[in-house]
Formats: sequence, C-alpha cells, structure tokens
Amino acid sequence: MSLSRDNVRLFKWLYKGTYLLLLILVPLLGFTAYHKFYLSVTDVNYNEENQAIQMISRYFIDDMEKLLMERYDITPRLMSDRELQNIDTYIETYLRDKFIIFIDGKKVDWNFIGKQYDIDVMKVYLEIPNIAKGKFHSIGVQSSVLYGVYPEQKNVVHIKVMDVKKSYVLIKEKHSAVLKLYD
Amino acid sequence: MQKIKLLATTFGLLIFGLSMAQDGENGDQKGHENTNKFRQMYQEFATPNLFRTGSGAPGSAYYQQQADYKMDITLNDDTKEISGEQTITYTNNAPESLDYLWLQLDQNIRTKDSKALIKDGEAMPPAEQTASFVKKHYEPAFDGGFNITQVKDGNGKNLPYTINQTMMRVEMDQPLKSGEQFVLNIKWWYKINNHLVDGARSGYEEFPDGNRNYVIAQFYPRMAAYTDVEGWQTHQFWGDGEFALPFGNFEVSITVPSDHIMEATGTLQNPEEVLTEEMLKAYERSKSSYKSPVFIVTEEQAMVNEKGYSTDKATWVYKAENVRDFAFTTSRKYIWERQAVRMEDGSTVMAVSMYPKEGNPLWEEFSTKTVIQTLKTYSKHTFPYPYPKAVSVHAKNQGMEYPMICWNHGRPEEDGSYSDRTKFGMISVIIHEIGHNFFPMIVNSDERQWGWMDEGMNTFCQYLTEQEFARNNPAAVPSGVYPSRRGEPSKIVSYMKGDQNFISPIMSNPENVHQLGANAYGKPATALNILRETIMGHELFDYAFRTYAQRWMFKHPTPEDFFRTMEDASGIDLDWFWRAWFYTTDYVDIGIERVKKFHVTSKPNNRVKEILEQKGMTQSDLPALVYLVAEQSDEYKNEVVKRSEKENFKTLNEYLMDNFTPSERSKLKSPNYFYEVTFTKPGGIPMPLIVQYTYGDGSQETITYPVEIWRKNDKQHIRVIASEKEITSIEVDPKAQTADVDTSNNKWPKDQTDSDFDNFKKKVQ
Repeated sequence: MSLSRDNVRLFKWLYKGTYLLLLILVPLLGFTAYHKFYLSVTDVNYNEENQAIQMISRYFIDDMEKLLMERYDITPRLMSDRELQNIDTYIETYLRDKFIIFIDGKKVDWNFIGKQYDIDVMKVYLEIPNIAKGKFHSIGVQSSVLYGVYPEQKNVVHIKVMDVKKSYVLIKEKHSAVLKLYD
Repeated sequence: MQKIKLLATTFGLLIFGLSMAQDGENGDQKGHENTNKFRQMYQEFATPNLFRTGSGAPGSAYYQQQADYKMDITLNDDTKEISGEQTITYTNNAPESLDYLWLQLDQNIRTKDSKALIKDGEAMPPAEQTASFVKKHYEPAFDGGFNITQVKDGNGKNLPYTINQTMMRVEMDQPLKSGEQFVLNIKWWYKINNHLVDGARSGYEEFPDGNRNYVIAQFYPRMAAYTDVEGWQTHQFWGDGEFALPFGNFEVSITVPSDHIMEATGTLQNPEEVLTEEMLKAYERSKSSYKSPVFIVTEEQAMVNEKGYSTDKATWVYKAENVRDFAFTTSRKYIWERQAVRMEDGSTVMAVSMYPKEGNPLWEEFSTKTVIQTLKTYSKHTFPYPYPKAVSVHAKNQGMEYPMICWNHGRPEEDGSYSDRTKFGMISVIIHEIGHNFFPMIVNSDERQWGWMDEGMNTFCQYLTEQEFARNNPAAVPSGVYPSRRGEPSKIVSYMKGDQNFISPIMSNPENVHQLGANAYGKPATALNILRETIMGHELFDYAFRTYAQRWMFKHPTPEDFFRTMEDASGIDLDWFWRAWFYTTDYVDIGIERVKKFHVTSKPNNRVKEILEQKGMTQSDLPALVYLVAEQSDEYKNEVVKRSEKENFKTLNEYLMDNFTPSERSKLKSPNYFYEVTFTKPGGIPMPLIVQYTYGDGSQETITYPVEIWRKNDKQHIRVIASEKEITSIEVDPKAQTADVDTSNNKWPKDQTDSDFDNFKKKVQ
C-alpha cells in the first residue's frame, strides 16, 4: 500500500464532513496516524551569531493549497508555472494570524523571509532579528496553522536555543508551548 | 642493553603515573549486564533451527503451506454486490497435524459493528459541520461485511465454523495430517463499498454519468498463513497491518456486464470469448510489441463504450500460478494498453496499463513507461520478474498492490492540466505498487506482523528505481534528479529527532505505531540506503540483498532471515546496525567537541615535570622523548614559542639522523602540524565517522573511520592527527549521509553563517 498524500487528501475530504468519519477510518487509520503527527514541522533556532530567532516551517503543499483556496477564495496552484503571483502575501497574512511567537511572554513580530518548495513540502522562512543573547528567558510558540481545514492537525515544533533542545506536538486543544531557559 | 631496559621501565612508570592520575575515585560500584551497542543479537533473534538457519537461508526442514483456489465470481453492477462460490484445496506441508483451519474474512472490517471502527480514541470537538455530525451520530453505518452462505467439505458435507471478527475457523471431522489435502467449498456475497466515500483498499468509484470503475480485492475468504514461526497468523485485520497469505494456484471465472473491460491477476484464458475481433488482434499483436504499447481499447473506443449499458453478461477466465492472492478490476470506461518487455534473462513480460479517460494525458504518457522501468530496476536488484505480466490500474486516490496488478492514483485536473506534484506522485506510486510484486507478493513476508519487511524494502527499491527513471527519462525529469520523498538520509531527520513519545522502533507491529509512514516506509528505506551507500558499499550490499531476495523468493522470510543473510553474504557483522536502526528509537548525532593543536618540543613539558617531581626523578632518568604542548596553553606562549624551531625539533631530528639514511629520510613523511580532535556522539546510534579535513592550501581530504571506533566508548572518540599541511577546518558528515539530527555541532571552527536559513535568506535578498 502507498501512504501517499492523495490518500491523506481523501481522508481530509471525508473528514470535512461529507461522510461519516468512523466508517472511513478502518482502512485509512494508517493515513490518519501518518497524518496526525506529521502534518507540519517547524524548527525554531536561536542563531547566536546573527542574534536572531530563525524559523523554518514545513507544510504539505496540498494542505496549504486547500487552506488558501478555502480561506481566501483564490486558486493558488502552488509550485506550478501558474502559481498565483501574490501568493506570498496570502501566506504571510495567514501565518501572522496563526503562527505567533512570544519572547518572555510578549508577542513578537517576525519577518517573512520567503518560501521554498521541497518535493511535496512548502518550507516557510521566518525571522525575528535583534534578540540579544542571554537577554531572554523563554520562547513561546502558538500555532493554529491548518486547524481551520483539519481539526485533527498536528504541528510539531522543535525549539533549539544554544544547547537547550525540546520538541512539542501542538494540537487544536493545546496549541501552544513555552520553552523556559534557565540562565 | 641494561640502560635501555631501565629507561624503558622508567618510561613505563611515567605513563602509568599519567594514566593513574586520570582515574577518578573508586567508590562502591554496581555491576551491569552487557549494554555494549556492538554485542550480538542473541537475545533479540530467534534461535536458528532446521526450518531457518543461522545463515539466514531456509533450513533443511523448511516447509510452507499451499492453498489452491477455483472460484466463480459474479459482480452485479446494478446492485453493487459481488458473490462467489469457491473451492479451496489446502495442502498441509507442515510436519504436524492441523486441528482446524483458519481463513481471513478481511471484508468483515466493514461490518456495521466492526470493532476496528472503535479502536481509536476520540474527543468532542467544539463545533462540527452539520453533515458530518449527522452522518456520525444519526445515520446507520454502511454494512459491507461477508455474508457466508455455505461452508462444505469436498464431499458436500456442511462443516461447523466460527466467525471471530475478520477470521473464520473451520472444523474438520479429524485433524488434517501432514502431507494431506483438505477441500473446502464456500459460498459468500457482500455489498461493495464506494472507496472514495468509505475508504478501503478496494471498492468502486462512481462517475457523474453513473459508470463505476471497480477495483476488487480481499474479496473472497482467504486461507490464513500457517508457518513454523507463528502457527496460524491469528492477528485480526484492524486496518493497518496488511496480509499474510500462503502461495497457491488460481483458476477464476468472473462474470460482469458484457461491455466491461477487465484486468486481473493471472493470464486471461478466453480472450477470444470476451474480446471483439479487433481487440483480439491488438491483444495478440501486443505480445511482440517491444517498442511501444498497443492499445487494445483506445481512448476514442473507451468514450464510446462508456455511453453504453449492456444487460448481457460475459465471463472472463484467468489462471495464475504460484501467487498469494488474486485481484481484478472491471469497468466499461477503461482504456487498455499492453507492451512487451524483454527482460535481462531473455523472457518476455507484458507491461499493462488500464485507466479511464479522466487519467489522460498523464496516464498514456507515463504509466506503461513506469511499469517497464520498475520491472527492470527491481529485477536487477532481486531476481528476474517471474510472472507473465504487471498491470497498473488507475483508481482515484488508491495506491494498493496485488500479484501482477495494482491500483494507482494520479489524476489530472478536469482541463487535463497537472502539476509536477501530481505527475511525480503518480510515477512514484506506480513504481511503489508494481514494485510490491517483489516484496511481499514473491518474497512473501508476513505483513500482518511486520509492515516494514515489504514496505521498507519496497520503498528502498522504489528510491533506486526513481533515480534510474530520472536518468533514463531526462525529458520527464528535467532536473536530472528524481524528487524522491523517501530514501535520502536528510528526509528522515525530522522524524527521528521528534518527540520520543510518538516514535516506535521499526520492529513494531504496524497497528501499534504512531507514524506508520515514517516507521514502516521511510525509516527502513533510509536505513537500507545508508547501508548501501555508506556502510557496505554497492557491491557487497547488492550481492547480499539479491541473495536475500533469491533465497526467499516464493517463500516466507522473517526479519532475522533478512538480517542474517545480509551479514552472511557480505562478511560484515551488522548486529550493531540492526539493533540501533531497527530495534531502538535512537538517532544519529555525531559532532566535534574540540580541536587542540600541539607543538613538538624537546624539553619536558609541565605535565611531565610534575610527574617526575612526584616520582622523585629527573629528566636524565628518561629516554629521549618527544614532548607535546597544546598551542592554547600558557606554557606554549611563554616557553615553546620562544624557542627556535631547531631547538624544539632537536630530539626528533637527532633520532631521524641516527636511525635513517639520507635516502630513507627522503621517503619519510614530514608532518609539521599535530592535532588532537575530540569527536562527540550525543546520539545513540553508532555510525562510521565521516570527516572532511580542509587544509591551508584549500585542498580537502575525507577520511571515514569505521563504526568500530565506538565499540569501547560510545560517547566520545579522540584522534591524533599529524599533518604536513595546516588544518583550517573540519566537518563531520559533510555530505549528509548519516541522517545526523543536529548538524550544529558538525563543524570546527563552529560555523554559524552556513545554516539553511542563512543560505536561503542570502538567495532571496
């Protein structure tokens, strides 16, 4: 069997409400399980030299396509020759709303550096400059990305500040995590 | 002589003093069992026996059961029901008698009260779409389980049977003795599901005009596998763990509307009865069409066919030898193409594609081409494909494999356009599902127990095929490198560095893991790729992998049979690799802790002076020694650097002059730079240490230290390097071959500006 994105899409389509979730689950649990914990992965790294928090998020292109289409009533055609010209603006607008970083409990704006495709994944690059080393004591990540289309969405976040590393799985019911630094 | 001996003893004392000085205090210590990562796998592996040998090959007493089927099947397109009458001749080749027989009733996962429906937990969402809510809580469930209407023996006598969820136990009058056969006659029917609505590996897709494409599988009561390792495989079908089936010969008659086109496992026995004259001619012509496919049904013809609706019936008859399963597809919408493929061993195999017009233009372009590439690449790495054909069927959203036939997704948009994602998704899924003919259809592992044995090995061969496809089809893959989703070490990193609560060892049952895709497909495929590229090399790996495939072709291997064969045929002890990659959730992380540069001097350094003082000795008690002083130390700054190089190298130079002739000296190396490099290993997996040294003149050298460097110290490895050129930088795993989860410690000097992030930022700004 192939655990492919198309199967996943099928599942999502079904989940969306056309048909009974439980019925479809039987053969698709593999896809849901695959899906549940691997929908997006974000690396949050503190770059000591640049004094910046740098983030790379990986979202499945199919998921983003569907989300942008439904939310903004556009036809993104991601990663194609006919990709919508100002699509980055939509992505940035969406992420500003749904992907929020807190430093010492305060919301901090990030800069949208750009996006890149890697096979079936969209990599989004975000950066928060001017974060002095040793001057902050916690990083919080709040992600509600894609919950709007898939309530079962899981957003995995790996945070790394100097030698402190921690991984989190964010879900709709618990959509934020805070890494405390004790130095 | 006497003096030399004394000097040697003194020097020995000195070294002893040094090593003692490094030991910590000796309190009460606890003992421990063998936790060395290189210890043999005696506790994990089953003990070899006459069924399965220590070499990984089948043993002298190896046996396997046989189940031969004769089936009459009717598919009713109006009621969407399928019914069958089947005779199973079961041969007990086990040395013991069987008290009863177990059959798989996989369709019972689809009964309305199936336990599989409630196997996972739920949570009340704050809000839900009304249609979904009503479906879930108000409407009755689809009821698609088996209705068994008859179970008789070969003499027509009713047999008692018990259905336990997805399995059925049939009781015989007396035990089935070793070497004897038993005949079962079973009748059944069930309602076919819409696989786009109810999911599943089989069912139908309904088109707006009412036409249905059926992809039918797991559709008849199938004999469960009985082996020396499991007895009857009684693990229920819960949905994720696929199938465990014995080999057998099939004769199957399938009755469908007469305007349907069909493909199935096996060779069509009555083409002249079911094909029109024109189709029959094309069918025959295709058998020697090696250059391009012959269309048995063209798109134009298919578009005419789909407008019809016949109440007449036609019966298609197939025979298949030595297969573990049987599946078929039928519809009036199908386009049908066949091409002959000359295999390396001289045999001819038919590459076949079947798809509705909705699959074009993608399918006519790539399906058959991909089937051919798959047969060739896989045959090269395993054994010549032994079946007469391989069929790729287009079914929306499917990706599922059966002997000689499989269902594959990849549908263009309605206007016929398609993205690269759809195209490569389609090519990849065809490679994957056609590839499954090798694992597990022929190398018949137990999927119900071990998902990775077929999915992992198949995904690995899929990766090899994708890369070869790119080399052979530059027009289809302009970049030259196929965008493989799995196989490259870097692709598994985000899984392996994740939260350990959601990761399981590869050696887990597919039902019990959180991320089946990464666990059973991605990680084992990557592990095999790393074995081939980095640990064993192509030659040793390919020979061993082929040996495994050929030893277990048309047999039932276990994980140990694979692990043992790979070692047995390559002469490499890989127990450490299997343990780390397959039996644990450890990950790879190797880095550089520090680099110390040393300078040679002829005068005792502070450390030696200290020890001489403790021992009450003087320098004259020592033989001529070369002393080393770290360049970061005060001692270096205050003393060594102030001496002339001639003075520092005095002992060395004198020794060289005294012991080597000028011509010998000219052949010696002349290292001027001395380093101590401390490598650190935060990750649990031992891997070969791949190190790239960059020298002052810009030249580079990569040295691979064997994995055995970690056998006595799993945390740290220190190397001394004497170099003729100054080392300016060092990098561990420079080509990302090991799936290192944290590369921030891979470089010396620490390099901050080279991150993925910065590279991207530079590119866009």
